[in-house]
Amino acid sequence: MIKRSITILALGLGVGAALFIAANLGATRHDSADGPAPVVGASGISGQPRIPAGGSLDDLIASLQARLNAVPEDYDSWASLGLAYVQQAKVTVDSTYYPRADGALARSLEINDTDNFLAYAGLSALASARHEFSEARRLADRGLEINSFSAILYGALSDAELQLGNYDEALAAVQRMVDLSPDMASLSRASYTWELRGNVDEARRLMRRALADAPTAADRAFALVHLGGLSFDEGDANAALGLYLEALDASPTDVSALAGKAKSEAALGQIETALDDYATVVTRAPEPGYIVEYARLLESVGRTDDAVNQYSAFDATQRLFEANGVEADATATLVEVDRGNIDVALTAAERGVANRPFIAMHDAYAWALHAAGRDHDALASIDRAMALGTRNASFHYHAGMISLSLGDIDRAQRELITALDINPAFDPLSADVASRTLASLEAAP
Amino acid sequence: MTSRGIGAVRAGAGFVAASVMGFLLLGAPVVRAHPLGNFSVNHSHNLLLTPDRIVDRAVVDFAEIPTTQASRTVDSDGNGEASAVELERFGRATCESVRDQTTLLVDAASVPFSIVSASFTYEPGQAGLRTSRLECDLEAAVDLSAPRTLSFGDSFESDRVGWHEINAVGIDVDLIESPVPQVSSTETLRVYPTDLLASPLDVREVELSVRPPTGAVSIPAQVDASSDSGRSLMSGGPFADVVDRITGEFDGLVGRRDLTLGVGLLAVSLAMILGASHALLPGHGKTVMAAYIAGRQGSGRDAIIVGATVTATHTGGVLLLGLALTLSTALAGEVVLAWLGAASGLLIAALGASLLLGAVRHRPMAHGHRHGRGGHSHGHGHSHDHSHDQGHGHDHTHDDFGALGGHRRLEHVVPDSNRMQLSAVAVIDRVALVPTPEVLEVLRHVEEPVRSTQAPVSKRGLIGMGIAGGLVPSPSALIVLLSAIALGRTAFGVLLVIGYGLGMAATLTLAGLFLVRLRDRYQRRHAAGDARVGALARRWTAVIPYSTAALVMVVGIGLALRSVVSL
Repeated sequence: MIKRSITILALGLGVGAALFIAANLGATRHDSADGPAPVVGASGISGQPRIPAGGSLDDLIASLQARLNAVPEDYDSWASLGLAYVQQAKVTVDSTYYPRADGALARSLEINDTDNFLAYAGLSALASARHEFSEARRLADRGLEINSFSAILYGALSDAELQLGNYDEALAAVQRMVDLSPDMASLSRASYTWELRGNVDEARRLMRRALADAPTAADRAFALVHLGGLSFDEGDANAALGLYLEALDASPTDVSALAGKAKSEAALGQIETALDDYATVVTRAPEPGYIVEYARLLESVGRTDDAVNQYSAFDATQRLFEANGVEADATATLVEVDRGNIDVALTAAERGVANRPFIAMHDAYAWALHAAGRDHDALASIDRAMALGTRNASFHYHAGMISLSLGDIDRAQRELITALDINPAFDPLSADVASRTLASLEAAP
Repeated sequence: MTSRGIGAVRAGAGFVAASVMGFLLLGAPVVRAHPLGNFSVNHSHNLLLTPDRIVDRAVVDFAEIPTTQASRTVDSDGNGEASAVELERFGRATCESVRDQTTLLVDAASVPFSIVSASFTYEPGQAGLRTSRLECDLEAAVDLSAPRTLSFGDSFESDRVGWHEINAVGIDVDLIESPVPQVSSTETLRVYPTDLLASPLDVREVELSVRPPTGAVSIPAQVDASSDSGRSLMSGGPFADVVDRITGEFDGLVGRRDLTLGVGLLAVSLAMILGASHALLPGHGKTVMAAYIAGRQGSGRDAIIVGATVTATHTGGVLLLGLALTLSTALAGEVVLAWLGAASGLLIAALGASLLLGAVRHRPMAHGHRHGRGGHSHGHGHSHDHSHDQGHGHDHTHDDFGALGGHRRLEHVVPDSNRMQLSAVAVIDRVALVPTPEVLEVLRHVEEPVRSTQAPVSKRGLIGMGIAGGLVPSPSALIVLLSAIALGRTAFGVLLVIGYGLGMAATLTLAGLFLVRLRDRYQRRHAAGDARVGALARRWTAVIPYSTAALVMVVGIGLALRSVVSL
């Protein structure tokens, strides 16, 4: 009894606050083209996040479970648990948490289906996590009809709008979220909207503000990882490495920080350390993005067998995503293109663009079209990807290669120069291709 | 804390919810996922302890992703097939890793395991992928024919998340209060809990104390794999089961979204029932206290005084603690409860001590007999003088009650009855164990005067008992309050806690009144009876005051110690 009461205590003190943490932990940063995984900011529920001592997602889940054992009809806690499971799935890349999130959220709605806005926030986050963004938007709207002052729902809405390519709507939702609750969950989203628009300084400023407000070590690490990503994408691997190390200092088990460290080390030529770190990363959290980064680094140093091994792990993650109802994302398309499975890549990309016309998806589609020899379509697609003015080396590299195929040497040169100018080490394999192509273009009369 | 933003309830919400459910159903996976996650690595160690060796059946269950990640290593010739030889080789190599990362300390000295057998097999998993299962039989030569302290730990693939369990059983070796179960709760990683609320077990090391068998069976500890360990403390009987069920109902009610008057009243009455049943549960010194009320003066009013004190103390305590815990994150509730428990125990012990002291001072066998009234008059100034004197006086009016045993015996009985007024449990024990007619008759006559001359000092004792009983906030009342606060229903929570306290008080008061009644009935039944009092009974009644006072004290000390130990 006593133990249970103490858990309940912890819960009473920390639900809103811990959700706040969860909200921020979840946004592992992929390459910026794909954006942060949709962040489920829950701090807006209370507006006044209070921070539990040493609160982590695991603690949150444990306390919610304990609470629901005691109060099985508490639909708010069921909804919070659903949200936490979605976060857990993202943080740990364990997609089996999605069905569990489903179950928890369904339970919440079973108890209260009249004004249960938090459950809709959870369902929206879950739909986003499964890359079903139209559904995610519909669910967020549904929740906002119940409670139009919920920051978490604006967060969910902005994530969906962004992936649906409705950038203005996404910005409006983020603005509303910041107004309601200027915390890490909203500021990091705001930072990302500026990053997408190519305004890296503003993105950095907002993320610094989030860092200054970071209430826990995990939050600090989160903000530092994003700042590291901004630096890396700007080609400053040194600064990025410093930020990732700082993040690891704050939160030694943070996988996204370790992955960032590995990526920076690789860019700085510290290949062995990078490979070691990647090996740890894919053991701890076999996230497809990390696995592909690792595989490409292995490929770039000639360890093809090991790379193949990583790709089979990547395939396993994709099959499990599929089994758990998660739509494939841009990374899957890019991987299939590189492996020469052009038809598979095209099919996946067409589905992706229909489902999720986000810039990263347009970029992947362009790359698949280019590989299929449909360069005019590819050019249209890559232009859509770059419409926001995003400073993304990979986009520019793709644009350069497509232009080259179309015989537009000027633009090809320009795009490749821009790509290498933004980040000369944007990818262990493609950066090389870009410089060699550029060199041959410049050597040619 | 979640605050609820109450928005307008729109029409059609039900429809939307229904379609959401549809979406959920469509979105549900067809293939059963690995319950512990697609990338978990799960460990089970099953230790068999015999006088000359320890055998460890180590099982590792690799979920889909780690299995895939290792598949190239298994398939060493790279032909895409894992042959029997490759599986055997990989199993052996992995068991070596398991062994190398499994530590066994016997009396702090490291003992190596050797591999007896190793096997590695693939099993079908989710999405057409495979999971894999490693089974290693490890053995270590250890002399367990003498008492030993064992320390066992597993750090194999500790980076990976997963289920970690250790089980231990002895054959011709006793495990002393083993903290781990004897048998795997997952059938060695084949059946995992699939509950939405279950968290994986995470036992990676264990300390075991062993000795050669004294009895036939070693002592197992039931480890509850579910997270609901709190409840299991209470379980163990039909009564506890019923209380458990009521608690569940109650928690559900408090958590309900729509709080109508009917639900509210139901919740308050359930709170009272919970409080009442909580007071009945053993281990709170409440029984001792009820006995004290009943025995002390035998008045219903005294029972009510204690009841009121318990309610006031308990309600105030819960509210204060609840408030403090809500406001301060630094405060550890468990520690506060333990300290309060210690204080309550000490208070009971002090009361027991004062009872004992009183009994000793009034030693009738030594003095009362010899000095008659004079001996008793020595007691003046003592806390129980008034009642004592009065009782004594009264007793003498019954000197002629000699038909049953004569003056001498009555003299003998009288001091005993006086002592009984000093001793809490004495009356109850007497009623229950030695309902001698003389005693009861005396008691019956003693009762009225004693009550009329109630000393303030003894009222203090009553209130002290009440405080001791109410000082430790019952965790369930605390849960009720904190749940209500978390749900934004603080006032309702306070109401429930008051109801809870009233329920507790009702039980205690009723128990007191019941005992008074019981005693009265015995008195009446035996007043005119002709039972005889033997020498044994006489001696027995003489000893009771000391033993009962000592019992109260010991119980108090026990309660205090129990609380301190948990600190």
